[in-house]
Amino acid sequence: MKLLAPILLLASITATFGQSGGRAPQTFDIVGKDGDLALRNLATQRYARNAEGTVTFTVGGSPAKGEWKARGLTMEANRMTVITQDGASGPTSVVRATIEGGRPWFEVLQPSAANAQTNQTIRLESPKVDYTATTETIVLAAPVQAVGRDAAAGRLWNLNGQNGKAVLYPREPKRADGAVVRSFDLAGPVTFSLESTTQRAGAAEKTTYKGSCNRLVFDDATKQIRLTGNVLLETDRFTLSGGKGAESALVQLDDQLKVVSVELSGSPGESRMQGGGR
Amino acid sequence: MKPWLAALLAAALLGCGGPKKAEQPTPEPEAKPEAKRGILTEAGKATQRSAEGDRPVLWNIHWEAASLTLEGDKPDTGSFRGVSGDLFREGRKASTFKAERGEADGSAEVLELIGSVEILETEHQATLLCDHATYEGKTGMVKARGNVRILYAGFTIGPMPEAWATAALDQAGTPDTFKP
Repeated sequence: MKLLAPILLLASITATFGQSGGRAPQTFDIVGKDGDLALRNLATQRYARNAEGTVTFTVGGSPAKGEWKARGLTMEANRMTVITQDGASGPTSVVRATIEGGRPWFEVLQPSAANAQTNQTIRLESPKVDYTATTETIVLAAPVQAVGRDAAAGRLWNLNGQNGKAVLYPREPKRADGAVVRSFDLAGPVTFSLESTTQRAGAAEKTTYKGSCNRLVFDDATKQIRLTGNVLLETDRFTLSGGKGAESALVQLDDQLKVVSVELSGSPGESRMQGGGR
Repeated sequence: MKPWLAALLAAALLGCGGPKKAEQPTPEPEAKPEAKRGILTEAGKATQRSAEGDRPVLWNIHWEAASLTLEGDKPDTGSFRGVSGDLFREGRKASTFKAERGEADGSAEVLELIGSVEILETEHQATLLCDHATYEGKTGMVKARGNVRILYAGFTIGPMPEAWATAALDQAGTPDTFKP
């Protein structure tokens, strides 16, 4: 009898798994009335109508997938809380979205200013992403990876850091320069690379800046990247810090967000480079 | 059976009428179980009230035909075909419903809706569609099963295997997430 009990238990467990084995769990979608907004691949959901004409969806999936086509947003995570307009008398636009769990990512897709037939993308990876549409603010929990890619403009940037905050330009009105990011503030330690490709005499010429610092702040209004704290910066051609961190660096960009100049200050001494390796 | 008698029996089954008599503390001698018998009725309607407090209405139900099970002279359960009616939450009408069949258990305050179930809330244009729904009068919750879809003015949710919702459909979710 002592031997029989474990065997019966094992048989019971096997039977239980056998009944459910191989059957994919049923998933479902939440789709806005015009198909513009959708939450897909869901295993769980909760809908709550709020007082101010909005609704809150709390959903889960492996992973749950969200898209808001009019804004060019896509996202994935195991858990999402999305507040939207209820759509009773207008569009079903997102008010706020918080995603976490699994390997969350949040992506902004927008036509490239260099070629409207192609898209530029900003992809943000963080354990928790909190997007507020009214301010176009994205708060990112540590650790953060951000990648910006615009093949038509020959631009690729990659940032790794801890907590971050990005502010986007509104989708409308469209900006002539196609800029997506209004500002980006990333706490460190930060590592980064900025890669630009320029066509010269029919040949592609690539320039890469990479380095590290304690904090990186990008402001599109001034087209400047300010790097502070233990700044190390190097290009394909130069190492600008001499292997020891400077106190700060100011990277000036042009309208295409390609490096025009770099100015370092503080230890290991003032240094300046013009031309940005173009 | 006369329609008025059927309606009277159904009303008794669904708990209509005046306030309940005070419960008798003295145990009655064990009665010999009486044989159950069924009767068929024509179209009718009834209102289910809660046994609690000031006895708010839980639901109104209309049916095209019904079969009632009687235990002695007392109705035991009711099964209805071609049902429609209203669901109430805290004494206020929250939504309307229709289904191919319905089963009411007045003492448990539970209404089962079976086959092509539709629950409609008109103020916010919400509709719940499913194969089978249980309305629990005590909690005001709808527990829907089988091909559950919820259509709101702005969104469509589903199809889900199971979802719970308030009678007004202002809150709804899969059972693991639902908190009324």
